[in-house]
Amino acid sequence: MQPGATTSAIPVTGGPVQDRSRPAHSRSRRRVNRLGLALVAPAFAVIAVLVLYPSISSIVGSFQRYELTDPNRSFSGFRNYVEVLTDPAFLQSLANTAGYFVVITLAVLLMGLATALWLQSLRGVWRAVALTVVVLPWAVPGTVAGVLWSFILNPTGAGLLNSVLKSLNLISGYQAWLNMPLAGIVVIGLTVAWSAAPLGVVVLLAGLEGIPREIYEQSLVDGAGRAKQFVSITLPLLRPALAIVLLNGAVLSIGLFDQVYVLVGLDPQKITVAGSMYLYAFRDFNFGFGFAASVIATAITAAISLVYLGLVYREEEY
Amino acid sequence: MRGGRTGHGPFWGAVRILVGVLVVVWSLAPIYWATVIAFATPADIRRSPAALLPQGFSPGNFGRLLAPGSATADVFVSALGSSVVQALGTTVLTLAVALPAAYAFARLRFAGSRALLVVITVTLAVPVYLVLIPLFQLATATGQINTQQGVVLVLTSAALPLAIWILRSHIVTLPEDLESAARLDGAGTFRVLRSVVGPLVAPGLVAAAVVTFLASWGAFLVPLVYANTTGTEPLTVLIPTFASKFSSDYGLQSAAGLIAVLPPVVLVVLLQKHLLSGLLKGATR
Repeated sequence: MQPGATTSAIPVTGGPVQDRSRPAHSRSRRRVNRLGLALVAPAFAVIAVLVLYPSISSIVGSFQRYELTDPNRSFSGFRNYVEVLTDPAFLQSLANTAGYFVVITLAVLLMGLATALWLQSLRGVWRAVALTVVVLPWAVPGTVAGVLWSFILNPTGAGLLNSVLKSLNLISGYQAWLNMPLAGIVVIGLTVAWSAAPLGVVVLLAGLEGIPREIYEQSLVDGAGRAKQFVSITLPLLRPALAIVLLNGAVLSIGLFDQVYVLVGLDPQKITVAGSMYLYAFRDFNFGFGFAASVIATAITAAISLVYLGLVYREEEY
Repeated sequence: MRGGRTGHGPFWGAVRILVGVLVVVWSLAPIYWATVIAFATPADIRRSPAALLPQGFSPGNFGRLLAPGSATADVFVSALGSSVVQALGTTVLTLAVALPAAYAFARLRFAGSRALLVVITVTLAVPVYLVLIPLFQLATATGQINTQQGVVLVLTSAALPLAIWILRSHIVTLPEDLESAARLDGAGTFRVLRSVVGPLVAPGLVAAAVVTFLASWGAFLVPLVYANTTGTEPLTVLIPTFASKFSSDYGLQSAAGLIAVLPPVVLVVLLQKHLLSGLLKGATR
């Protein structure tokens, strides 16, 4: 069988030992092994060549000199990391990323919770219609979402936000929202939250639906009000779902690129770590720095993931 | 009837309506506003302060965007074609590769299955920027820069882990008896996959297909690096260039944006039920 041959390089454990001890099963056992590997082979091949190999290649490359203009590819230890971590532009992008993380996570968490609770209170057709409306931003590509929001955030009176706030007398003059240093990050973070909230709502709604109703009924008997129920039952039992939303917020803000790119370009005051990596690699053509930046970003994401997963699986009981 | 119902006072009723209004306005405002601009005349678009309601209905912006011989028509139609080819190509290839793998992980206890599943699950967490430069080098070395299939392959590798995960979660929930019955009738594994597992796993397939399509239709960084010339660049790469090339022409930009949003929005509206049930089933396993 041809496909089996291509997958034999994958380390297999345990198979042959069992085969020898139970000869009656060995033929069917070997057939299952071969069939399983054959079915998985194409997927594994794609992932090995296009995900695993380049990931390892990035990590190896981060310890080498690697500039397109210079053929020298010698091992350079942590030099790329030191250079990147002492580059003010990279540190600025790190700070921007932290800002986006706070804004995106808070916004998705609060809006997602409110929206999920609202959806849960709806029934039948209303719920289906409301769910469609809520999920809609998910369908909008990041760059197009950036374009849509640029019309709302337009610095002149033609922008929807300026126009509404002015007519309510909440601002005296038209504001260039995206040019402000800190407020700009908040505003861009909110537009990203617009795109990210639907997934958060779906996860939180699934979490809410998973809480046994008897617990609410029992607490009602015990005289608990809505607010008390929310704090003492809903929030604790929703912890796994909340962790997923938090995790997604971190992954999203570290990798954020498209919406920022469309709204403010590659502005050093606004780009994230992923933006820094893009500039090192495809503007400066210093792949070594690009590798180091991408490994740092991935390491931060991994560290945050482990902390969250630890929090979720530390204790999970009713 | 939920126990919570009895807790509804006028206060919580008002809160519910307020939250509902805010949620709907927030979700729809950007799409609504772009639609208003796309169908407005240049004079109405420049009006300050802007009128919140549409002042008329003029298809002029779409005309300027798509009229044969205009500055934008050729590149826009070409980018639309690239978006369709890349998103559909990625979706079909991803499902074709993911379904057999997901079936094997769900049903066959083969040597190394656990380790392979762990590896594939871990790659769910690999961010696209980590693999961007090596894949760029690989694509340059193999001549796959600025080709449709190059983008499709990279997008497929990014979509595969999640698709396998969604499909596997589905197949696990299906009753195994049907498959053994078909097998007793003499059907081979591929026959079982096609005529028994396929139809049952349809909701999962729809969810995996929609998630893959949305991700690849909306992809930006990957085509920006691997396919950024006319002929291969998709809408997500082309449309941001309008913002600098036609910086004050909001009508043109919003018309282009609306067209780019239409296919995924139609897909989500039509398939919302399958998409969500498919995803949620996957989330709880």
